[in-house]
Amino acid sequence: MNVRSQEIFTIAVLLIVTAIFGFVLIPLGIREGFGTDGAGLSPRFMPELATLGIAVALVFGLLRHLFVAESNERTETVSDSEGGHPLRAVTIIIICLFFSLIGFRVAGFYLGGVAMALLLMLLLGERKFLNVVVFPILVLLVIYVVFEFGFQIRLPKSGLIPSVPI
Amino acid sequence: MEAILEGISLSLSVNALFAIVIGVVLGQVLGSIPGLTAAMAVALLIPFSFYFDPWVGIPMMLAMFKGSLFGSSIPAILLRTPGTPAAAATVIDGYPLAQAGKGGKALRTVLYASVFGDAFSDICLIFGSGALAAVAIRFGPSEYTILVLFALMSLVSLNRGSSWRGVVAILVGVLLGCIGLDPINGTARLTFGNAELFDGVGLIPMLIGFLAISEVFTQLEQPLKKLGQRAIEFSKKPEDNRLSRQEKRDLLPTLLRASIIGTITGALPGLGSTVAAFIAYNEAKRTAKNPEEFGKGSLHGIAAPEAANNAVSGANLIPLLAFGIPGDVAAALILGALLIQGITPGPLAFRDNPVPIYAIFSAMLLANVVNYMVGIAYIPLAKKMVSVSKRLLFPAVLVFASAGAYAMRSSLFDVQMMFVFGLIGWLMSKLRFPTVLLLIGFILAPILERSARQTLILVSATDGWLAFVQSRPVLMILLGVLAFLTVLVIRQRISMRRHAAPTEAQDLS
Repeated sequence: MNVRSQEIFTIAVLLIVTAIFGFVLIPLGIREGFGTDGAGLSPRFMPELATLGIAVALVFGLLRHLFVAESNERTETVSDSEGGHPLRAVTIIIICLFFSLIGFRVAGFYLGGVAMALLLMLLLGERKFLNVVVFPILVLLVIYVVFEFGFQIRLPKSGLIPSVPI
Repeated sequence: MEAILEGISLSLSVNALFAIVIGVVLGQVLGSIPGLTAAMAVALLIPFSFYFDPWVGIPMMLAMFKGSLFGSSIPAILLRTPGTPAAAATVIDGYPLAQAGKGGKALRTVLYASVFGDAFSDICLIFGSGALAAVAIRFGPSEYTILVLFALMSLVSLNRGSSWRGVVAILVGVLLGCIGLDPINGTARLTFGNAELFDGVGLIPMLIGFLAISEVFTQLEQPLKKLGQRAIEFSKKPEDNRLSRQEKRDLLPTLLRASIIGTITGALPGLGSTVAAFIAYNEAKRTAKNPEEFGKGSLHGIAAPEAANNAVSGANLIPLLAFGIPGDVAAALILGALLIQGITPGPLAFRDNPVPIYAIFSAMLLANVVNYMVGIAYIPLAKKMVSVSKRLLFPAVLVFASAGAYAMRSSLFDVQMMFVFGLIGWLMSKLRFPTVLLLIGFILAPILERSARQTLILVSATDGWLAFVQSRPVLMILLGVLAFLTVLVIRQRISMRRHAAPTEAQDLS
């Protein structure tokens, strides 16, 4: 797929998402009712206006790609699309989401944080034993001192072992 | 005169000076932690300030606020992780310059610009608090609507890529800003029953997610060998780590313009330093001799937003001290601390008990000098703090960011949102949508919506639009300025396209 087709495909997908948002999610997510009549505007006004604006901008982009030469886009694509390992990034995103949804809640922020940092470091290729073991503990120790003592902010505690104070 | 001297002597006491130094150091260190904002730093000190003598607690808090503004630019430049929304504009040129090994130069520029903007607005605060606040107080919702539209237009013209991408990003930000309770009638919008969303999407998780987490995800795509290298390399050449006199001189016009923009914006309650930073950046780009250098590490691109956002901090106190109206969250916190200490700011304070006001002025000026000196000493330390391997730094950033996102509202939901926004930001950067514009759309959405809807209610109570506009001279002036700037932006984009045409032809050949 060349750059132009990719762009057209992306815009088409975004247009479908915008349509779903405008026609399904806004009516489902914002009820018209109390206080929506009279001089004031409906609570849906701004979201609908923004969605309409997005749709118009996307159609403009689509028309530009369909009817205007692709030269303008060509210069934009060069810098950002350097090859990489998106799979690793996706794996790390999943790990982060796992810890934020379950890990921190179950193991507590400090134990969960050590586990998360350790896992990420191993995934990023860190193999020095001292770094892998000491660094996550050091980071969490700094966080513990700064938040618990400095700011008096209590980060989530472990639900697994209630007797452990962290 | 006696009151002025008495005020100065209060701020020059050993205790007050010590408090200023401690405040600046704490502010710089706290500000440089991703996710901890200047407002948060001030908020955290308020309970402690009650236990101090007023002339220890208040100077410490003011100094801490100034220090945190500079501190928040350190992660913005070195890690692309702004500590405050205002520092987001600094990322645009600061980060590329740091990537080129000139992180030391970028930080010196930030420090120089911060102190310049801060001192400028403090002087304006001292000499013109009454006059500026009198103009700002006349602004109603319609004037705010025009100002926000002006800011949004500036942002679209700022975007280097396709304008439609910029518009989409801003409007997605506006949509995200609509989540929560309706500002006029309290209807839940797009919360789908989730009580955590009733207050809206948290700014801090969004900020860290879109700017820091998405950047970490992008960087993690690099080959493992590259990840073993340092996160950021600093050039050893002295000229890459300092600002020459010539460079300082060249920056002066930009700093002056940006400081004026920041001071005027700061005097308008609610607009905040982010708007000022982006307007100043755009203005610096528009007036630059080499606008093509912007976005690639231009010193002017760093100096303008920094001077403007620091100028806002001083000017924010204009309505606070002259009328008792806080200009932003941090000013509201300072108001709270002043009230705790038994000082009620307002027009009567100038007449009945001016000594504390003059002591505050003098402490602010002094804090600028201390901020510069401490900053010079802190820069090498800050550089060392980020000179670690990416394999170690990025996991630490992700864990630290999680703690920062949690801290604001003690909510794990915010941590989850931060990672979701990181994912969206990563996808957006892959599709070349500007995430910074989305953030600004999000920040401005509530102001725009509230002002626009209040304006419509006001218009419905008058004899139509024309009569409404005619009754508000400030609005007429602003509409004229907006129309002029619209023409200017359209012309600028057309000329940019014309200039780009031959280059593209060359590329194609």
